Amino acid sequence: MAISPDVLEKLTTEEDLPELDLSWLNPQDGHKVTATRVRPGRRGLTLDEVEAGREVPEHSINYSLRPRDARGRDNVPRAGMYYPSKSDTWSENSRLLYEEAVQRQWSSATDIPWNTIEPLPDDLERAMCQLCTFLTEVEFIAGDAPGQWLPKINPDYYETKLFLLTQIMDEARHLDVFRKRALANGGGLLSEGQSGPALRSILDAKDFTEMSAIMHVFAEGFVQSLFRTGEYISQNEAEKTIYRLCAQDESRHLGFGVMHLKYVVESQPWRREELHHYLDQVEGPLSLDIQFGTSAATPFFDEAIIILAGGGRKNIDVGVQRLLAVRRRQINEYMHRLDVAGLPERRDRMNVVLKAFLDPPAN
Amino acid sequence: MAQEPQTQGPDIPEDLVKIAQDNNIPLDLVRRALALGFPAEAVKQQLAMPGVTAEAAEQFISQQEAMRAGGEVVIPDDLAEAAKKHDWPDELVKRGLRLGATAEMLISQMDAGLRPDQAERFITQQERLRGAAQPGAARSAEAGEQALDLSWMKVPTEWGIRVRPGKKGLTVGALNVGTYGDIPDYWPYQTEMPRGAYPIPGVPAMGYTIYEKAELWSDNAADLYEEAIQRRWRPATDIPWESIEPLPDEIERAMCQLCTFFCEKALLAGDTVGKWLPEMSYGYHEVKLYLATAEFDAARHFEVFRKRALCNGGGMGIQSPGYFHRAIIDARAWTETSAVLHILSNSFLMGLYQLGEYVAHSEAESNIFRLCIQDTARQLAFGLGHLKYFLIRKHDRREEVHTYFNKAEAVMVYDDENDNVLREALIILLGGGLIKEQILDGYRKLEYFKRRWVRDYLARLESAGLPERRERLHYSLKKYAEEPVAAQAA
Amino acid sequence: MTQGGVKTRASFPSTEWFEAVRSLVNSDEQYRRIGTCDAVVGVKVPDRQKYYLLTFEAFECSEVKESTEQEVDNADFWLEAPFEKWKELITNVKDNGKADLHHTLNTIDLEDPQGFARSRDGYKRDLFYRFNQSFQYFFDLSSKIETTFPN
Repeated sequence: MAISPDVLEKLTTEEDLPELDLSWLNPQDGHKVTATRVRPGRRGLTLDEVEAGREVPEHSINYSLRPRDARGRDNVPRAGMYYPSKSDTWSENSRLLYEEAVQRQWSSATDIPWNTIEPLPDDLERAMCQLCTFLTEVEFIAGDAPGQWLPKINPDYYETKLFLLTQIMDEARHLDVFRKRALANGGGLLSEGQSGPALRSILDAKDFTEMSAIMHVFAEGFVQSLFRTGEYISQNEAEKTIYRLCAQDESRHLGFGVMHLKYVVESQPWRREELHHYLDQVEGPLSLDIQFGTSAATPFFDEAIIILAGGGRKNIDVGVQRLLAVRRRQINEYMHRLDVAGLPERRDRMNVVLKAFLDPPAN
Repeated sequence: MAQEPQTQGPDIPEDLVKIAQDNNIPLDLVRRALALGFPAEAVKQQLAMPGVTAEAAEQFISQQEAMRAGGEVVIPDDLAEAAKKHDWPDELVKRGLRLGATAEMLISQMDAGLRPDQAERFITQQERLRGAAQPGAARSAEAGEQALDLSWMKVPTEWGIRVRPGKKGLTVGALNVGTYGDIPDYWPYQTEMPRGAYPIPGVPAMGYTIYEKAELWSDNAADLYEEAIQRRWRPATDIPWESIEPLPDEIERAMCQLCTFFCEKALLAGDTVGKWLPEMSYGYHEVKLYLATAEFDAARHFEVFRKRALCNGGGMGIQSPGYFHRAIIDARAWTETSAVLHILSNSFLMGLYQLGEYVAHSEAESNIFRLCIQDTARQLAFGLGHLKYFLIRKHDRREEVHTYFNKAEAVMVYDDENDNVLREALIILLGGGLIKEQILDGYRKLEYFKRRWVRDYLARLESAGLPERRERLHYSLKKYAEEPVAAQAA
Repeated sequence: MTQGGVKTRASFPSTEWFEAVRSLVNSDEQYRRIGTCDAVVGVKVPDRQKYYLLTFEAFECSEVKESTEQEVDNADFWLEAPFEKWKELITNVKDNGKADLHHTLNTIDLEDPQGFARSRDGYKRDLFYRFNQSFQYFFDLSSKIETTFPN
């Protein structure tokens, strides 16, 4: 099959052969098309494989959408103002996490065994629905926040952009799956949560590293511990699957944040105090919640966990103990991540109310 | 060590028994600690601390029992001194000690800067939880419940919803039942409260700017969201990369130039939609969900075209003039953004993907373009759905929509006229080489395809309720538009 | 492919032929993995006056039936080509195990000035693009059928 020559002749508006420049076929840098081809490895054709041997610049004055390694043109209008330094937005694991995210996507519609959900006692169903209302609420902030940073990340550091795009997808699925769970078992959504002030601090961030420290390392770290708890207190296979899959996604976000923080600490050591300031800020509002009788979230949230963890309203004592265990795990895991990121002194500087849950150092 | 029989008092969890035995702490002491209301987790933590002895534990628990029995709480001298220095009232310090805090811990927190008002709130919370956690005979179930607020259990949201999975599993669209299916024309909440939940006072605004349904809605958003997830693909492993063979230099460079163009388009789409997501209020989550998948599409498109450009000896080409990017970046309303990005830009992007599939030299390329065609078709569907919804409800803004298209079409044409590199790459790919006959063939085919692109673009706008665009089309595009009768026949 | 050890044999165009492909599609795990597909697709072989409607729903092709031209005109979109073109497409699929690079649905569509995929509605026509891999897979699976072409 082919396009009819008659048709081509009839439809062509200018029959004269156009003048072609074709100078772009012979680039000034003398780059030759070589037979050196990149072949897929065990994980397919990954970004690490195609980028092997290519340099990522430490600084960039690219203010257009020119992809890294593409040749520039004169007179291209600026597309925005981007962060000029690699340190501002880079994380060494972003390619790996991006590929992992693409491979490990899942569907809340068909990958959750929804038919395993059985009617629950009213108190447990209400507690699960309150927890789901809280989670569907917080998850989308984590989708909106990366979105607003995308236009500020330099195309020369596209890996960070790609990673954030997967995070937006992940958070959408989380919003969606918890809404589904709330409406799948004879329940419904319940009360709006009380975590607004804390969530606002994520949107209020004025710097990418500030946002990442607050959202990826602090907030998502706490949510990650919560997902693991959710799996533990799940009443059926559907819920267990939901929490396991969400925890998987959340680990990638945390992984990005921790390694970005590490990159900043190592490449811009003069920012150490600034980073502590961000953590001071975020530990403040969230710990205020604790002082008002809640954990790193809200009283409603705490009470839902207490009921779910205790197995009902009649076992409040067990629920409280498990809530305290969750809280302790959250704080200790948070500190461990800061150790990895190169901020071990946070142990001494941590908000005292959080510090109350901190175990002594391992050694 | 032989296990002590558990006699009176609360049961000791098995793991706590083990920790106590490992640390040579009598189980009776543990039982007394639990009877005092200390959570098992807290006891475990204390026992695991280095240097804990049975004697120290006995002393501490005896003190606590004495306090609970109404005995006077004695503040040690060093603690009293620290409390005075930091303005902590004696009664607050005593409440802390009653809760089981050691003098050393309280001094440490005072020195670390814990203010008395902060401490007061924390201690109140701990007292409340401790009351709730009194086990067994020390607390009735009712007393435990009374320690909790539980107002969230009684909020007047719709209860009793049981959505079951259908042929496509449990979908977002299926959740829109009862009051959860009421999608208001105006969303009144500035917070992140999900649609259908019960609002509470005092939550700060999140800074959204779009609260009106007509400004962002598309009826197909929920379905497109699920469709995008089901039809996801993975560039690393779903493309038969090994099928790509070495190509003549000019063909390889032309393909790489096309890939470079697509990479820019993907960056643009990702940044643009990302910028708008935080502007959209939470009541219309279906739209935000779908756009999240479009963001994921953008990532995969950048990835797959960069990989194609770098995997076969070619490399990235030359950036585009960038004028048309600005027409999209500069849009100041979502409807403008969607019309220009999803409908105008994507109509021509779709045409280029079709062309890419047509000239594919390998299974890998053929697959890449076909998969991108699918993703882009969803974005087109969303854009058309939104424009249709907008035009039906905003009769007075039809002219405004034309203004957006007027500007964007003009800039797109200008950009195209200035992008001789992309044009030449397309001619080479369509003609198959550089000899004169191939160039002529490529040029003619490009003109042929441009007619199709304009035809499809106009057909889409007609379906969205904007048939008069045919008359108002930019004059440089108009020459590619067929007569209405012929277009209808097609 | 054999069904119960017997190779499926059918002539094109016929309801039996589309039923045979439908049956293959609905038992094919790879087709399901491509994702959901929702569209009513017409098939026109105008020089044989043959018209069919194929209904795709969720993860399956739920129905195929012979139809009238008028009904097909109301489908989301239809695929239209003279008998000889259909024969070339199906023969190419059979010879290669699937469409080669010059016989994909998209390529055939582009080469026809009126398009292979047509619709009265620009929005609905885009379903041809949205579910392109599913439709391509549908026709590629016909390689497992012994197709005969009546004169």
